[in-house]
Amino acid sequence: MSDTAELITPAAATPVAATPLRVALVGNPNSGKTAMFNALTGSRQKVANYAGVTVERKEGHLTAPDGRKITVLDLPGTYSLRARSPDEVVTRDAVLGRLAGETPPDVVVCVADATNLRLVLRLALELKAVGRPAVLALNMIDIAQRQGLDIDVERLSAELGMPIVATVATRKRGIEDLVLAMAARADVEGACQVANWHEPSATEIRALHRDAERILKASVKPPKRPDTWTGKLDDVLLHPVAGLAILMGVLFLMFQAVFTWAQPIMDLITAGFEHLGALAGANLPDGVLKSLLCDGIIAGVGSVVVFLPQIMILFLFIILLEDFGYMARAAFLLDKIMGGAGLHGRAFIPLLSSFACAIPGIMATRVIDQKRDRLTTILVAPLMTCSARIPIYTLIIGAFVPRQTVWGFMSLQGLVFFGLYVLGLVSALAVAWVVRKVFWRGVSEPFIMELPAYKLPDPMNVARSVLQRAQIFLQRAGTIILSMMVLIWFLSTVPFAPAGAKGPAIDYSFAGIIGHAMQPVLAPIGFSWQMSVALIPGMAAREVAVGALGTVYAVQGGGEGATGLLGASLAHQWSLASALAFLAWYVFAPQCASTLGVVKRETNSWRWPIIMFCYMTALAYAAAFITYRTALALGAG
Amino acid sequence: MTQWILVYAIVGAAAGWTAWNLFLKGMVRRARAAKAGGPAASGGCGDDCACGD
Repeated sequence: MSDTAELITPAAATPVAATPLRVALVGNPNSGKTAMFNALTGSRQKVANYAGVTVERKEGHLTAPDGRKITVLDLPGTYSLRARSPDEVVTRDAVLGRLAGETPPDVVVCVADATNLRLVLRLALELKAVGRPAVLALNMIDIAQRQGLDIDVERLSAELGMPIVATVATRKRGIEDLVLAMAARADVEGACQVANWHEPSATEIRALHRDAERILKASVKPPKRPDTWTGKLDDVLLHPVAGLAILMGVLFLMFQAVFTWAQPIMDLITAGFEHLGALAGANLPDGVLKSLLCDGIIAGVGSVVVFLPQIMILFLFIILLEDFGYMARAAFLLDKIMGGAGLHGRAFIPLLSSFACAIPGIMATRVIDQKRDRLTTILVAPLMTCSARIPIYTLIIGAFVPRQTVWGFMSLQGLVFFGLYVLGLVSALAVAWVVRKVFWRGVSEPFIMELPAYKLPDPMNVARSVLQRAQIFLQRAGTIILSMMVLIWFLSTVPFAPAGAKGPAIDYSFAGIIGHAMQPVLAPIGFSWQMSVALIPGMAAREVAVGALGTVYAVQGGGEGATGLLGASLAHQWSLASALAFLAWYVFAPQCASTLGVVKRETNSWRWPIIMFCYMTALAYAAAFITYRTALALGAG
Repeated sequence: MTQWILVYAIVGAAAGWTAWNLFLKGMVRRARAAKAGGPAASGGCGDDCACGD
């Protein structure tokens, strides 16, 4: 086949400008498929789920130079059309045009990591057998060239029977050529074999693999001087002792940065909300409306938004490490530890995602094939410290842990924060171990994971991802948290205290009534009724509890406990033992209705969310009880 | 009195908005998706997800 050159010339694409085109992106995990999708579609993307399954569906749009509309579908990463997980089934069915509610693609773009062609060549051969028009995007060609790989593109194209376009998706190199090749390829009448397609057997897969090896040998010459960078770095970063020490160091630096770098911006945000509250207070007549705006909305939302810089810094680290290629190494390093706890090596990825939010973490457990391994991971994922806990931890640590350095260079607050993360991780491993030993005895599958080459993160991609996270957080603060704050203010204000009442007004409100009703159960763990009140809205989302505390104490203090003073107000009104018990509660408590909902959906049963709720509540109560009683015994009452 | 009417309107809207976001939106989307047999639009990490990921 020698159609490569003619297919990527503009002239080949012009006569059919009016026909809209559907393109599906297929490729191995870590091949730069998502970067390619971003490069092709920019911000014109829509994220959704496929019907009936919880596999993420990403669709984007672009217009070709000839005016042709192109819809691009970013399919989940796979190594083969011999699908074994729900993600791979979606990819296979989308390629074959068998996915309910999806129009079959006109062209399939196979995204290949040019530095690691072995596995993608097998996939490309499988795609060739399907017979749908296909293009191979030889991505990360710059790294391959730097490594000294000599790829005979024409030979490779002839062997695979599809045109090849060299690209660098992160720098948008080769994208125009790829678009032209897609458009031209769509007009080629091919012999589509979808109707005759059958799932390849293990023997056929082995034969395809041998064919891929042959093509690789024939068309790719290894570098004259092998790439020593990745090897040298891996010698250190994957070392059983030095590697683990570096990993701990990286995580430690991340949590220290969350506290130290964010502080100036947090101070600015606090000052801004205080100024806004003062401005509203000065310009509104005294009364219930002023109370709603100042004590409810401004104080409540301000006390959550102030954590935006910390959340952005945390995600900056996670995204940088992922893009650099270090996350896969971290998974590899932790495999032995995970295995010791009875978790599958692949569980590291869902658990790591759970540091951001348990929901994508639970959904990421689809990468684990074995049902028992998957359920174990789902059950422990919410114990990882999600970003919604950050506002609570920061508030309590800021209020009760002195701002001082220990051993000359470490922030004590950062150290406690780090300790809470470790506690979450250790308890997740312990619970997983118990689940595996008590309920499901059996051998786990061996962990196989490809280590991508190290590469410098693209600043634009990193910035876009961090800003997306910030936008999500602000959207949440501006919608659900804002409305929750209004409701909490209402519960904390109405009904008013009767004339001549001696206690604080909130004592007579609905919140006071609920808090007092719950207090006998929570008193043994040191919770006041105000703390009990904060737990109720905290079920919607953990960080809402901070806003609730802000509202409850602002109301009680007649506005004195505004955003910036919430920590000081808590330090004044809570004992250290109660504060530590509150922290212990939040390490374990299932304070997130959304997580329980997703567990129900992922397991297709109410049994698992109920089990999760019960064991986590029991753990939270026990941990808070032990913490409170120990602190009291040590004189922290 | 006017202040109270305004406050009750805001609180009512907040209650409706909260119920919509936490429960109703997901239910409506799932029902629509089931009816259409097509992809269910969501915030990204699921219809039940309030985190928006």
